[in-house]
Amino acid sequence: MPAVIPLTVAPRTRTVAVVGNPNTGKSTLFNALTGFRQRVGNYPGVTVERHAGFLRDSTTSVPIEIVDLPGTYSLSVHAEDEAIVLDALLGRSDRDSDLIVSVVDAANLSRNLFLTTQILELGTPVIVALNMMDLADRAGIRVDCEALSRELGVPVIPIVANKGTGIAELRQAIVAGLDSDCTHHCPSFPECVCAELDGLCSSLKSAPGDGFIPSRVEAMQTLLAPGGFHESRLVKRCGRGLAEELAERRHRITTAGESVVEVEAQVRYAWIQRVVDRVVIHERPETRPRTEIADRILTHPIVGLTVFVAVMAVIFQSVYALGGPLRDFVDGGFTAIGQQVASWIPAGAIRSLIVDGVIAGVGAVLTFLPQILILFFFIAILEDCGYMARAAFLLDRWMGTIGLNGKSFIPLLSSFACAVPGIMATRTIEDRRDRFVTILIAPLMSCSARLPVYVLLIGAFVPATAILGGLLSLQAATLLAMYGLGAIVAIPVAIILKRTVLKGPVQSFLLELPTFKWPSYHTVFFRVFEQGKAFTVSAGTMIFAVAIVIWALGYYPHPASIAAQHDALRQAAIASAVACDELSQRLAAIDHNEASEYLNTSLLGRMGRWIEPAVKPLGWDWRIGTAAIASFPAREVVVATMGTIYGLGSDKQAASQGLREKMKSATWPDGKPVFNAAVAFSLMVFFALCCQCGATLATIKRETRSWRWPVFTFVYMTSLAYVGALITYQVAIRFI
Amino acid sequence: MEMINPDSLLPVNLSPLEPLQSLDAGTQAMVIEVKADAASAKRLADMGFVRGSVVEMLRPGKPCLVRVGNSYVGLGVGHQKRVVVQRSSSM
Ligand SMILES: Nc1nc2c(ncn2[C@@H]2O[C@H](COP(=O)(O)OP(=O)(O)O)[C@@H](O)[C@H]2O)c(=O)[nH]1
Ligand SMILES: [Mg+2]
Repeated sequence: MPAVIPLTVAPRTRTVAVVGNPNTGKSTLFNALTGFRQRVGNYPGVTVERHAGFLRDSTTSVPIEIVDLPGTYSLSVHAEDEAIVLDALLGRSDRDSDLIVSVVDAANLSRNLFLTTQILELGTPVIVALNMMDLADRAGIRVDCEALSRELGVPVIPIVANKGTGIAELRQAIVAGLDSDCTHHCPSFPECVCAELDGLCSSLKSAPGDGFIPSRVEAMQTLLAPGGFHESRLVKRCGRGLAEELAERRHRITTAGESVVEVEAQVRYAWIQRVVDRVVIHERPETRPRTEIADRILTHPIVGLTVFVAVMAVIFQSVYALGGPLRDFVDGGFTAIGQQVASWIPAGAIRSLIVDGVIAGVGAVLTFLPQILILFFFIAILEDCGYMARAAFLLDRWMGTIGLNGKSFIPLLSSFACAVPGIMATRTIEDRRDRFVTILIAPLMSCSARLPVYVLLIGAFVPATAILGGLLSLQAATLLAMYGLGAIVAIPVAIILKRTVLKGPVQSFLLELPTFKWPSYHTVFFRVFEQGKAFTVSAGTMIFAVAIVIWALGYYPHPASIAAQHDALRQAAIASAVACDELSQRLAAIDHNEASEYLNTSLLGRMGRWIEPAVKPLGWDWRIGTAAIASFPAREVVVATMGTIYGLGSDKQAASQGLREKMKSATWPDGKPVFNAAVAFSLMVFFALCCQCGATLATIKRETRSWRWPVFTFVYMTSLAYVGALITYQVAIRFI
Repeated sequence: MEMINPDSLLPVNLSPLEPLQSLDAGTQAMVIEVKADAASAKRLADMGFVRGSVVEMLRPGKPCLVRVGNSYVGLGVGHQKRVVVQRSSSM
């Protein structure tokens, strides 16, 4: 009997890699091909090595997976992000790619074709996506795509990724190209190089090992980049003998009159030059591109720096001025919801859980969403238009004084939105020690999760007086100062790290400044949406969970004796037959007392009093201390926790007040208010410096591949935070 | 990228070799060689600094801003010192 053949054979997924120089529009193209839906984003806590999605509107039944890779100039690896590209192309990290889409900037053809010529040699079918045709057009550069396709031997599809032009054609070409043979043309190398390369390939094939056979491209990068990534990787596999063999082969190349390090670039660029001469027509005499004119101002050491400071000031002022009214609106919404829900559910544990625990907790955090989105919006614009590289250029000199170079500035600036993508962005830093120093100080940058704490405390305890002739409010200035604090503290930390555990010389700066582009609405909107979603999801789960735990600890055991005792007091008050006003006042006082009694006798209250001696020197009462400790897994929890604690500790009248009012009316047992400006500042300083973020620590672990560094980060930041808050309080209490 | 065959230049056009560092704003020159350690030399070569490519100094300084072909690259002193160029009066 014949075997039963399954009716549907699951079609094998085909993989298409999108490769190209940085800023050539790979991610824009990826989004256009996959329809935005599939992007695995820079979510805190999620591994993001791989941005993959499925080709939309594909004409075949075979699922075609598109993978977006980091930008690189060459297959010779200098930094971590380039290693990712290479491994994906060679099928080392996951599946082999069935097709490569090489994204090429038409306005900068020669430099972009360099990588393409390397990719052509991989033996995988290639399609060239000639992007930025609009910019090339405007610059008067006309590229004859058919001629280019003939020269390279692969399909060339002109596209404008951000407008969707040519995407349909590219999609068809991808489907058609998957099973095509590769028929590329590529530069030929001098005889001596070819001979050594052939020799190396055959000795690598016969080398002992685990069946890992490096491709010819890898062999070339090994041979021609002494001491590079490929050499150390292969030597690790094949043993010291290989190192000697390489030295001999390189020596023979040198003796033949070629430069080992330069020959590849020379041969490829010369070949490209001949191709470009045949396919590119300059229609107009070249004029100064607009980018160059903009850079006369923006990279100027004084004018440019002034612009930079102004840009930063505008961002912070907008976060405050635009975000404030929106926040009050959301805040009012949650208070209304709380009251409404409270009127539906009978008093008791359930109502307390929902109103004080969930609505007060989650609401307290979500009220800050508008401001966080505004911040993400500005950072996304700066990244997308190309300004980030200018900022890195401008600040290189200043970064040099702390032992880093300007390249570290980009991850640090991104860390102001969130340290997780910031730490991942350090992959572009070539020097390992510089990269680690940048990773270790990135969490000191004030991320958006700290914003709720600042905004809450500044709103409640700093007056809104205008300063600098109305240019800035005192509140916005305080916010700016809190944002600056982490960055300022990072300076000595970096200096110390560079002199001790991660000792090394200052590395010279080398960075391409991409041409300025109008930020794409899609990209910016999508980034803001993605990060806003990540924040909301974390508010909805992590914060939700912590809020419930804190509520439970603060509610139970809820002894009936307290209720009995206070009911007796109420009865007595009513029986004493005083005037109506006075009666309601007395009853309110009794209610308030009852609520605080419950909280004091709760598990949370007992734990809190146990830690109070440690936090008292910082000016905190046990409630603040508890909230701070509860927020170690994720700092945005603190506002929720305070919302819950103060919600529990307040009577029914106070339930209608926002958290801000509740904090203002909180008192020590002797009746003195808990909060004053000194306490507010000490709390803000603590949050500015403390590493209260599990996702950041997990990312540091992943990126440094060691437990040592996350532990180190946690310890040093927590100590800094405690000492900083202590000094702040002790100084402030004497002067404010 | 603009490229010149350095061997085809007439001797009269030749000026002395100098590091990229010493170019003034607005001057163009041709890359003759990159005298760096293997890793930096390879990196620079990949980005377009190869023998024969034309560079223009846009903003001298630390770091400096140069145009190489159609791209703009910022280089710190460490890299500037190592790129050897030659101004040419014919450019
Ligand atoms: N004018 C123009 N801009 C584009 C085009 N494709 C992408 N961009 C813009 O180029 C910038 C960099 O794009 P991105 O996709 O982030 O590049 P990646 O670094 O290669 O992933 C963004 O501002 C895009 O909006 C295009 O065809 N024309
Ligand atoms: Mg990208």
